[in-house]
Amino acid sequence: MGIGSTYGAQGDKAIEHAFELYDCPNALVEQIGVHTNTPLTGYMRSVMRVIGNFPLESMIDELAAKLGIDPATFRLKNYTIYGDQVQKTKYSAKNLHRCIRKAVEESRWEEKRAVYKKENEQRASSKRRGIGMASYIYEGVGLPPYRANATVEVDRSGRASVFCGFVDIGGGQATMATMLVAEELGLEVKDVAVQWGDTDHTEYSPGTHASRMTAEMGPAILQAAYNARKQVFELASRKLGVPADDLRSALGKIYSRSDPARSTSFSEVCKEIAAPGGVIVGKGSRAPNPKDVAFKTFGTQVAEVEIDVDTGHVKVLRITSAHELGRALNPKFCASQHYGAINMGLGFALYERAALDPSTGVLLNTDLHQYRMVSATEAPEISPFNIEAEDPYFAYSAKGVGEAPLVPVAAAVRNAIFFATGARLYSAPMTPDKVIDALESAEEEVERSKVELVNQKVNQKIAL
Amino acid sequence: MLFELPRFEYVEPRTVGEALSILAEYGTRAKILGGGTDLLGLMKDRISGPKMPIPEVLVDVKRISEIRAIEHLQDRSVVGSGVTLTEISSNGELASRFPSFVQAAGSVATKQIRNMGTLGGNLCQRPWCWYFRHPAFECFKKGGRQCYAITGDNSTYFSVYNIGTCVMSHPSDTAPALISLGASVRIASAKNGVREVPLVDFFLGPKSVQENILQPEELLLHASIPLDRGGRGRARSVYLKERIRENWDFALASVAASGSLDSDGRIDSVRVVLGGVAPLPFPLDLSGVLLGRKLDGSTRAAVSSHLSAKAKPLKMNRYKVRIIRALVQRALEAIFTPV
Repeated sequence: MGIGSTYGAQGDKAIEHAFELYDCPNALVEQIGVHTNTPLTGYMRSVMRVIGNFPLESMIDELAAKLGIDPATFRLKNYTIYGDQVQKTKYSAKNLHRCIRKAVEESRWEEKRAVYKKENEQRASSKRRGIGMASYIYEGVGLPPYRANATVEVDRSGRASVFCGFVDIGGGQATMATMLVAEELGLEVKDVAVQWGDTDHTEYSPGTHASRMTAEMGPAILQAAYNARKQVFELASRKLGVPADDLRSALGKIYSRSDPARSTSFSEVCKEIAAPGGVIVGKGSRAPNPKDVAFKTFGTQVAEVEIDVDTGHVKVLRITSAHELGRALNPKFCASQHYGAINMGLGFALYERAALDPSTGVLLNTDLHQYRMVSATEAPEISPFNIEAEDPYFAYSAKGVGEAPLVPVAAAVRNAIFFATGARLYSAPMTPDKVIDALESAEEEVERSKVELVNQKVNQKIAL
Repeated sequence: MLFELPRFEYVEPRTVGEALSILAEYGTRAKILGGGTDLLGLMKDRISGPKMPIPEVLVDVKRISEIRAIEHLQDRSVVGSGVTLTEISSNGELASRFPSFVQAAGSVATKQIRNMGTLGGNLCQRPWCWYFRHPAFECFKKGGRQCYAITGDNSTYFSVYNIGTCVMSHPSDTAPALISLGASVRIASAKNGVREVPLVDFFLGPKSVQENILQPEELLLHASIPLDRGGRGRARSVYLKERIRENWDFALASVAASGSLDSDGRIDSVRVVLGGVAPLPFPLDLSGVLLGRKLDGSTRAAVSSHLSAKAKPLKMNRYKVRIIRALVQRALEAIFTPV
């Protein structure tokens, strides 16, 4: 797998895939750590998951091919609803089967497999096309240490502020908080401000990693907003003469559910907040995940690739990505997460490699020219799909996307190359040197089986 | 890495004569600055050694109008060494006269680098071997005693032909194209005046610390590309490049081919030069195999076996031979398919 030294502590996560992704109660998985004198490595995205997923999902396709079963069917046949095959722990929600079916349907999997197979057999040019898939499990559900706390304040102008200790690293965490508060209070998004990034002014929240922020902070924010809304409704109840539990709010209005004509504006009610400088404060927090339930997000990707068998050049044409996230609070943001993660995953699949000198261990490619990241010309067409399903442990069921769609890219690309050419790649990035080696082994394999077939026929004749 | 630039003196001559006298005065202390896309990176990374001092004086030649022109004469085109790669790749007349040269210039790195980088710089750039580019390895090219790539990681920009003391592969895209087009270069110095050298003789092999014959006091003025390349038929040319990414990459292997067919469809001139696979742009001698023949199964097979027979791959780059065979076949197909 090629694991760097500081990954040691996270070691079990690399093989976690192997005992969680498929129904296999008799699995024996073993991971051996080796000390090396190579430079220390640090965390990159989807820590350990990417390198654990690549060998497992490669093997699944080889098993399916050996049995002559469609890889999608093979994955569905070995489906499990349990997060632990021995303890039989159930997931809070798992709809990976829907991800597989969605990716199959949207990529026109069966049709493409037939077309590419026929086209490849004709050998009209050096180009072969292939289609392959890979499934994955990921976090996006909250992890220890749990410290999800949020505060919502409503002031006399009728505007709200939400205070979170997290950092918006570009994933839209602040927008998520704004939307949840606006929805719960019945305000427009423009009337909600977010304070984040400085725990001098906020309570603690988890660090922004493991794609956990929506899952963990969502319920805390929602609870804080709920507690603030209850206090606003008490003021509104007095003003309108309507019991608080009959009140509803939306888009800056508070109204009676049974008699919607009795209404007032949110800001009008907030003038009643005790002066001077008075604010309504709502607090919220989320408890740790319970131990008797398993929590994960899931997904499946289908990659279509074009391989030049003479030069070993691989171009990824299209990726169809289905990710189960409970609920997409902001579908466009979620789609962006697919785009970002997939392009990053493509770097791991085809280009990015830390080259170490074999005798000294010195890192050789210390620049971004020979450490190749994906640029616009390599980016494939990406079709993202958010698979939604109820999950009562999260705010509106919403869990994470973020890093998750990075996990299966390399395996899906690898399986597409395998489908197109029979080349078995066991190492990423799949650069032309490795692709050509694998192609040559596959060509030899074909030659050997031809010779064996002839020998068998000769032997049969002799026997007759 | 990329630290700050070391301190240096900057001079900006306006004429070739002025530049030559400055170069003569400073000698090995000076370096010629064109687009700077290679030189400044080397300086920032402090790439140096006994035979590679960090330059103290940079002679910026971008303001010398004499070396910044493209001229189309009746029998040849003359391209100044200070012309940018973008100016070459967007020149319509060059594209119709010498497609391979324009394709090669357009395939260099990225748009931003092509906008800055010059023809002279592309011909004279230093190796992209990662041992050479690493300050921790004092390799043969910097004046050290050994080539670290021979026993090290030689998977990418390294040689499979003409292996010697150093196993770098020459990174230039324009050089193979220009050599296959029979180009020559003009070099000037204050002491010896002007000399004209066929570009194929400009580059040095694996036993040399320098990649070319240019002396410290010399300035590369221009490349001259002839229209007549020896055949009677209409000459065609093509440049093909294989790289890991779709752009911003040097060639794992490239091929420039030029040639013509006679009225019977037989090959009456051919020049094929490989890039990225030898310490210098690597001309193939295919005249015995191809001249007077048509491109068919047997000539194709002869070309492939010629390529394989001459190859001496290193431990990690045997795969390049397959790429080279494919590129050469495609290039021959492109120029010798009757229109």
